[in-house]
Amino acid sequence: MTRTLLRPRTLGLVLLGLLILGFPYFNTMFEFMSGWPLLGWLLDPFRVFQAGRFGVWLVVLMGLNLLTGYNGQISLGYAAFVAVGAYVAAILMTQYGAHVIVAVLAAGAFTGVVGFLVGAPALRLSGPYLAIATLALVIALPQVLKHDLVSDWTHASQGINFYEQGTPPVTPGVLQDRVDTNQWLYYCAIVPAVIMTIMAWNITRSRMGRAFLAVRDTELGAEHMGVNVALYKMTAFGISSFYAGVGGALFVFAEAVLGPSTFDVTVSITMLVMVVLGGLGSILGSIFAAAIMAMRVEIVDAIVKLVPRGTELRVDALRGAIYGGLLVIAIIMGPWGLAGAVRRLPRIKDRLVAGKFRFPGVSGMVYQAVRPFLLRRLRGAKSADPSRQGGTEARDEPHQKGGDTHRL
Amino acid sequence: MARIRVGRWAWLLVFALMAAMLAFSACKEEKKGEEGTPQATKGAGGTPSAGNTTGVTDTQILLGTHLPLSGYAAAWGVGLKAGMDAQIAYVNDNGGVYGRKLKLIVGDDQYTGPLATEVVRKLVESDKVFAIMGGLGTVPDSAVYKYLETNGVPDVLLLAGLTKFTDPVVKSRSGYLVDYINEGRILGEYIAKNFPGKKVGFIEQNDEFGQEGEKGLREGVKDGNNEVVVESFETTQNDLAAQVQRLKNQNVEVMAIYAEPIQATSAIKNAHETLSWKVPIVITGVDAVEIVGALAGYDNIEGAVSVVYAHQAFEKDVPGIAQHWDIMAKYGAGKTPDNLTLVGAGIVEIMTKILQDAGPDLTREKLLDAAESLCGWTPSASIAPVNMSPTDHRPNEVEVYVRATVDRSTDPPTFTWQPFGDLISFESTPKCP
Repeated sequence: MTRTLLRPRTLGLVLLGLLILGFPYFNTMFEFMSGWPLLGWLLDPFRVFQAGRFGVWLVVLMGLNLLTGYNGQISLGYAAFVAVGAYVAAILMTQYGAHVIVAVLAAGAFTGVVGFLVGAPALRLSGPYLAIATLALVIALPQVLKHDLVSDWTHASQGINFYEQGTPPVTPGVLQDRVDTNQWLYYCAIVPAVIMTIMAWNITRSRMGRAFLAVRDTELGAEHMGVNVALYKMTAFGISSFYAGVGGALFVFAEAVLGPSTFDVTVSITMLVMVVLGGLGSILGSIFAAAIMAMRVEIVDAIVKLVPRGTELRVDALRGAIYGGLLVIAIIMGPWGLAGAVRRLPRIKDRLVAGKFRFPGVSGMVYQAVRPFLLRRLRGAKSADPSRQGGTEARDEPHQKGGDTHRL
Repeated sequence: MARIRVGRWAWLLVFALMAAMLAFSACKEEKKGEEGTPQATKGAGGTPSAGNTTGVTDTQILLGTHLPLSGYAAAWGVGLKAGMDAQIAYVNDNGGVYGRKLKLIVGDDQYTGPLATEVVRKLVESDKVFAIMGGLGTVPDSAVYKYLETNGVPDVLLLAGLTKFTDPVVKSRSGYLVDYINEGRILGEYIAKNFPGKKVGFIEQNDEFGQEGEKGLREGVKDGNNEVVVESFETTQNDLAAQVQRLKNQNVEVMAIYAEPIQATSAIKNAHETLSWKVPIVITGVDAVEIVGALAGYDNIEGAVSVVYAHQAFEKDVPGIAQHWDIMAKYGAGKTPDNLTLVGAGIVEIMTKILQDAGPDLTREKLLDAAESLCGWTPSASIAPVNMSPTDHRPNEVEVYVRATVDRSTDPPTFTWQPFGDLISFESTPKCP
């Protein structure tokens, strides 16, 4: 036991666990550091809420990544499943007084079943056709939610507001002295997020995960190898919908407000963009995606602030353009998202050393200028660390070996 | 890497959690002993406890707002922000409020609930603003108003007309727009008076905004014995051809519209241009803005009737509006004044007045008291004095009809909403002390 604990990986995980668990208390514990440049940013009390939001998005985007990244089924209607989960949980909590754990699990299960069934038509559709079919889901949903048949539960266009229903989110009695509402909401999001991440990790490294990848890479090939393509496609839909349901439930629990337009087409497409940006078919990618999703307003804000005030350039009017520009740049620079960039780091080093690196355009010129210095430094680093490029990466992204060499 | 086996880890995590909780609760209890009651400043139930000076220093008052600076409603947020920024620069150049400069932080909510929650929580918890003013929009405001209320943050002059924000009255919250029920009723009265007995077709955005408008309109047309038929649409739908066609088939004689500009103009265009159906149009005050003219086409919109509660940017002969043009020329960073910048500036102007009334020892409590005793004062853009009281948290109480008018003598033609008729007072104006 002690030997297991002392392994670097074990220690790292324990440390990460403690960081995650203690995070909402850091801003009071380390108050004296709140003026420090980087730590001050992290110790802002608002980060607790933001980290909770990150947890919610992590669950949601992980599900989308399982479907689109691992199984290759492009869904533009993923937000519809999130909305279903959110509504089921909200209705259970506000109108039937269900406990949050019951509500979250029920929402996950219900949405999972719905997703599995919706997955059936997906068997006949693929690529853009599937994208359009799923898009129909998210467009139709607001109207369904406002329909008279269900409006007793969904409150039609007024939506569900936990405060108005008399069940505002508060810490349960036992913990009230120790955990304030913000901290409670953080734990309610982050604990499921950690569990669901571990689950996704294990799924993608199991027989099922390999089947997902096989179906994504070549359906025909997978079928020849004895993979039940139909079953695995529907399962992927089901599992990702389970994630969507749980994520939606966690979202509404923290947000306390839910309307038919909360999860609309825009949100759906934003989610897909985030997953692509973070990295398709990768757990790390989902984590990056959730982080960007949670901070996307702040990122654009930071860029807008760079432009001095009072100039004729009214940057406020260009936020959309800045946002779009960033996306384009990110996707051109890193086709496998941020996760791909991180994974490529060691290889870039190798290529630098080997001198077969080719950059086009301006970056190429800059590179030519600094190359001698880089080489001198990296040669030293290379000999110290020869074991960076292992077989694990190849297994992690079977697709990429080809694409990568082709690009660089 | 291998799979993670959860069994062994679960226990470790649980232990770590328990240890952490114990350690932190110990920390907290120590603190309680030192500082008395740490939660005292928080307050509850919408009334902040006396003496809350969050966001106020000797030199600055920090204010926040949430507006859509990107996304489909960005035009609104960008215009409002330009007006607010210019007016704030003007106030600060003239000495601020009791020597304190105003500072405004704008959060970009993209007109969505989730992002509104995010940016407002950031304003409250991270930037620690004194108050939120002029937050725009039914959807974003619905997402945050209860949060602000429970945390005792003043949420003043929000830009949404739903009655739920100000009825029942909550001390910490007030609205700037005329609520949609009153507005709908005034439009209904216009129909009852000018088109008695005629069939009204109501184009309704299928949400609370459209429903409150319908409720008001139905009240208003009672005297005219007008029949009202409703065609609703979703906000995701931009082309209302089908709805308009159905209204035409039902022999509707007046069309009333409660929709945002894109859909409203689609309805008008489809009726007047596509179907060549010259039906008179009555439209919500939300759409009494310049851009609607360009969207619908001048020939189509000409003659449509709406209501406004204030002077508009083109009325340069009004001294207050002329002043706004001057302020925008000097502080507007190149933005041409329009009705949106006027609303933004108007909100800052009223806020400045309230802050001044609240006195030099500014607290949230005093701000809210000052807001409630706002009475008989006319902001530069208003057509009548604004009033608030402990039972009335919407300052504008007078509206005037406007008609879409195209002046073809200029090149290019100019489009304006020209006021006509008497001022309509829809609330009994209180006597000021």
